[in-house]
Amino acid sequence: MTFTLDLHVAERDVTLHLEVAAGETVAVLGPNGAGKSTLLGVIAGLVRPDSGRAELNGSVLFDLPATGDRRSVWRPPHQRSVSLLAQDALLFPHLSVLENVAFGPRSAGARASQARETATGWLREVDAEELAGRRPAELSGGQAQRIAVARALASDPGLLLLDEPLAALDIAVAPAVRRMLRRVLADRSAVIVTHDVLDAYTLADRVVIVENGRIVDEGTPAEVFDRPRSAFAAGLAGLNLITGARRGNTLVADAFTSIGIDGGLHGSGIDAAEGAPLSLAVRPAAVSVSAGRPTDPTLISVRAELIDLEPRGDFVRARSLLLSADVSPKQAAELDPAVGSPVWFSFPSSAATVFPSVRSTRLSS
Amino acid sequence: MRPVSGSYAGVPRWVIALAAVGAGFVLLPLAAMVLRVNWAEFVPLVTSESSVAALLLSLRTSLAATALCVVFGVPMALVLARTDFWGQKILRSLVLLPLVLPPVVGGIALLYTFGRRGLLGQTFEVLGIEIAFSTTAVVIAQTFVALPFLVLSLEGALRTVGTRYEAIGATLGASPTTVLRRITLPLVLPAVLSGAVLSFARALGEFGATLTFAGSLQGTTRTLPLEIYLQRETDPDTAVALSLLLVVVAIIIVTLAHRTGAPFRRTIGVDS
Repeated sequence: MTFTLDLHVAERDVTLHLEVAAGETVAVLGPNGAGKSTLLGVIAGLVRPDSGRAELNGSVLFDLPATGDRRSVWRPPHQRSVSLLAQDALLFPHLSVLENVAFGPRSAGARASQARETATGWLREVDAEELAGRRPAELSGGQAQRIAVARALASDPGLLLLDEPLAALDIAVAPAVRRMLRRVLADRSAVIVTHDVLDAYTLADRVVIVENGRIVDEGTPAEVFDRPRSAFAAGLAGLNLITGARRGNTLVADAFTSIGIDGGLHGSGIDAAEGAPLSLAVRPAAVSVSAGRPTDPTLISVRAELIDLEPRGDFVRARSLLLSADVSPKQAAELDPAVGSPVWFSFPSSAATVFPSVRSTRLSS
Repeated sequence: MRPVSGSYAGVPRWVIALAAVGAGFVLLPLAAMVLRVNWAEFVPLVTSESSVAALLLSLRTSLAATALCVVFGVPMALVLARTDFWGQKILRSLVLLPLVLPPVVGGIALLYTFGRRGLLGQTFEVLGIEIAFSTTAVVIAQTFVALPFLVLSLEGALRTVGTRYEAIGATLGASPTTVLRRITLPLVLPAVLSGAVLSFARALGEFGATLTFAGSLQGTTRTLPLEIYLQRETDPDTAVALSLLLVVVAIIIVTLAHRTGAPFRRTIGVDS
């Protein structure tokens, strides 16, 4: 284990434990205000938590005991070997591209010529060697972010922190920068905060979901997004998530809703113990809406109040508290009078996955 | 009157009229003074022994005061802009006090600090240094009144630049001193320069505190404004000629301050 962190910030009610193995990239996802940026700030040394402890490659970054039984340690940012790549490139405007990238090596005490050589190497690595002589003001957003990546890596950090590195970029240039990041992050210890499932799938070996200052789920991107344990992860993955408990051959979601799980469903939840918490995930595209109960026995049908019809480009999302369905604009127009009254949401059992709500492996550690 | 670059500018006529009166109020006295200049005698008047002595003394002391303002004002601005401590607001108000204080009051305060019977004066006397009524006193008086100009303009610039670049610099392994030298100071350099120019201008025009604290000895403490005041009684032509000289210097300084301020605004505009 190269990096371990325990942290507690009372004011924002954040309590987190995070580990990053050598060469591992961990993506941290969560709603706004969940404590993700605080997490990066604490690791970089820019935000001081109430208590906690972090260690990187055997050296203590900070050790702030909750009680006064140990002496507290707080290493300043420049002595941490932790580089931060922000959403904005934040290239130093008064330095050339090459001088920006050479900044880290120079600060570490390298001679000017040696630092330039290192910087040129990293510029080549991010396909931006020809920009060396430019000023930051003369760069596009994508180019600036490439240089910022080169600058962060040139300081040879033991841990690289990325705070939504692609969020400020044009949709047209983000994919190229993402590919470049995948290449340079391949065998590097990194923590990336993102809002984007694609970032998590492309860049991360492991995903951590943070909600209300706590880690609510953790696993490989496939585990977390195919079988979400939180409404937030389900929303990111574009899935409906129904949670409840097993009662015989049914998943009981609430007093009015139980779903039969014996016919045609797949997933490990079918073997769950009686009363065990179960989840069911299904894509809104697989769900259809009708006024009367569908007669097809292979369909799972749930009666729920139609709350809202929300246009989403070429389709319309019909929402209830339990399930959402993607319907055509034509059907949405027909459903419009039904808003506020109960309708039937139904989906083929083959389109849904049932799984235990508590992940047995990682979270227990 | 044309609006700025063809865009709509709803300035009422009566506002323009009041602005014209205000501009006349500033420009007319200058014109009156220029009209009063004895051009035939101008060069001999400004190159007389006492005039040259006063001018050189003014330049020497103002440059020294500007240097002191930079040496102490830059750290003061950094501490005020970048740290947070109890009583900071009160301290800021007190530090900026000379800006609004009548200079003669400043002179009296300095006299009771560095004067022979002052707070520190006796300490200096033991060391064999006498400050009051010396050239050193002129520099101290000028620094006292000019320091807030640099602190104020630099603190504003530091807040505008923010700490984001500095934080990135620190995570790249740069020590606080390296961050200050390679990031903070280059970013606010235009503000340091324009603040220094303003301080120089304030020091050059200093009169009240200097007269109170340093007196008026030719060649030692009689700076250009003091010389002008003195000559006004006996030789108005010299006073007017020297006044014109100060006006020209002031115009040059204002132009310089504008020039150095411009690239600063551009630099900040790039990333915002």
